[in-house]
Amino acid sequence: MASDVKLGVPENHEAGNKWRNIVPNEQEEQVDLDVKRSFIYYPNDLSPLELENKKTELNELIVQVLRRHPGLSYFQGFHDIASVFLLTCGYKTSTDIIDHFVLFHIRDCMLPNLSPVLAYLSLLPSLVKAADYRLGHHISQVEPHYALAPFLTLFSHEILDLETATRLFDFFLASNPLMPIYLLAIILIYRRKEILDISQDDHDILHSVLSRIPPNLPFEDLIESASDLFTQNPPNSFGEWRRIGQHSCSRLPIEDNMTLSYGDEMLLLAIKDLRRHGHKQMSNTHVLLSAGAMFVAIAAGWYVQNYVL
Amino acid sequence: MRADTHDIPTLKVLLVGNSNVGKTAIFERFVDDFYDPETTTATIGVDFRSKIVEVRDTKVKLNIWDTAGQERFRSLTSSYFRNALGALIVFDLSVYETFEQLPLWFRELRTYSSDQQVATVVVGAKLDKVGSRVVNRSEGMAMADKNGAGYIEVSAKTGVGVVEAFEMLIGRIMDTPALWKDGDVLARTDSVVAVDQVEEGTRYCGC
Repeated sequence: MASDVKLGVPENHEAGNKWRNIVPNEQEEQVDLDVKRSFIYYPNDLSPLELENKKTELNELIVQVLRRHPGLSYFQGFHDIASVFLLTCGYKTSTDIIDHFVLFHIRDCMLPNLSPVLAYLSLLPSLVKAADYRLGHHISQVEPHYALAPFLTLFSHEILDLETATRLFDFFLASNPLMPIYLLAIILIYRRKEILDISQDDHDILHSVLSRIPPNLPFEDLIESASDLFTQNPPNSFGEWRRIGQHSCSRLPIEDNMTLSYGDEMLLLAIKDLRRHGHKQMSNTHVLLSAGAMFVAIAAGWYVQNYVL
Repeated sequence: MRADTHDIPTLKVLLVGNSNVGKTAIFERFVDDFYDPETTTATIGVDFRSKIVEVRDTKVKLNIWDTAGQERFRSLTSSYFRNALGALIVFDLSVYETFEQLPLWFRELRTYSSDQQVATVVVGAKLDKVGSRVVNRSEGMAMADKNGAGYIEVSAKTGVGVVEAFEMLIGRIMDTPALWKDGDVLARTDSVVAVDQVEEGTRYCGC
């Protein structure tokens, strides 16, 4: 991968095996299940024994990053990302760079719940609209959940060859963490005819078509278009940007000198933001409920006074 | 093909259950009559496929939503429960915990699937793993009975029981007066909430 520089040099990895002494994270059961189902499409030149060893390495790669940063929540699909790292950089280098990648590129995907990710996905229809109004309007009735797997896994869940997956990772690692959304927008625009042919009201079918990443896309051209689209319509030019958390990793310019301890600090702040936001939403609901109850009470009183008495 | 589907009743059904119990394998075996242990990977979010089938001389279009098992995705997957007429609740015959979680799935379904009486079938999966079975048939049936569901054991690997599981579910939908009347769907199945996400090789219908 050409982005080692961007990934920074780990400052506290001297204790290579320290993570083994940390109490297992409760999410590790899910990791086990997903790792068992890994390396499906590639590599295909491993003997059964080599494959088993690869899976052990993958498991350890994931588990150690979860143990080193206990605030992280594992998601299904992170194992796809970790596989690309492992197969491209090897075990040793992967263990050196994965923490930085997690803390500065996909931290928001590993918060306690999915709401930050859903906020990101909500940018997609507006983004398509900005570049292709008709298409954007056509898909605007459909919740952008179709973008979940490509966004969460940087396309590694959908791309079936390692070379393309690695090329995309290079691009994403050198870009803002929101770049996968831009690439998705460009892919949808590239497929506009196919998408416009489906009735806007056929939500289920539209969803299923939108979620598909066709094989043999001309990625070099699409990458260039996605970069241009980002420059022309940066994330903060959309109203949906207001939904993006204060400590989101997409708010940080990637050139900054970012240390792991700074990443950990940001992770904790983002978790705090999310909890506070959750409470705020809860209390908003309470206010609405009490206001509603009061309204009903007043209306009932008025009715009784005017019609019953 | 799409033109004829207009007159055919559409039934929205779900595949739910814990992670790695084999939901996607059942889904693929049913839609494509295909099974390859090497190609079933974790589902992220939700996948959608559709298939036309004939049950009791009636053609119906099944819109099937295959959901991710990881709890993290529950807030998203449960939004797809709305307006579902039926669900296959899948557990792994060789992993007891996945069986113990079934009551939780019944509760989730009742909570999120509007106010209809969703038809349910409990599906014990991986029947082919002879010798690793830890849930016996009578135990499975008792659990299904207790929750008013059908019960069937299947193997996506050999194909045993897969079609029958869906047919049983459709039959139960047809037998529920709140869902089915005079050969058509009674409940509102139209354009649900948001929906979402599909796999590779999506077809408009698998018929």
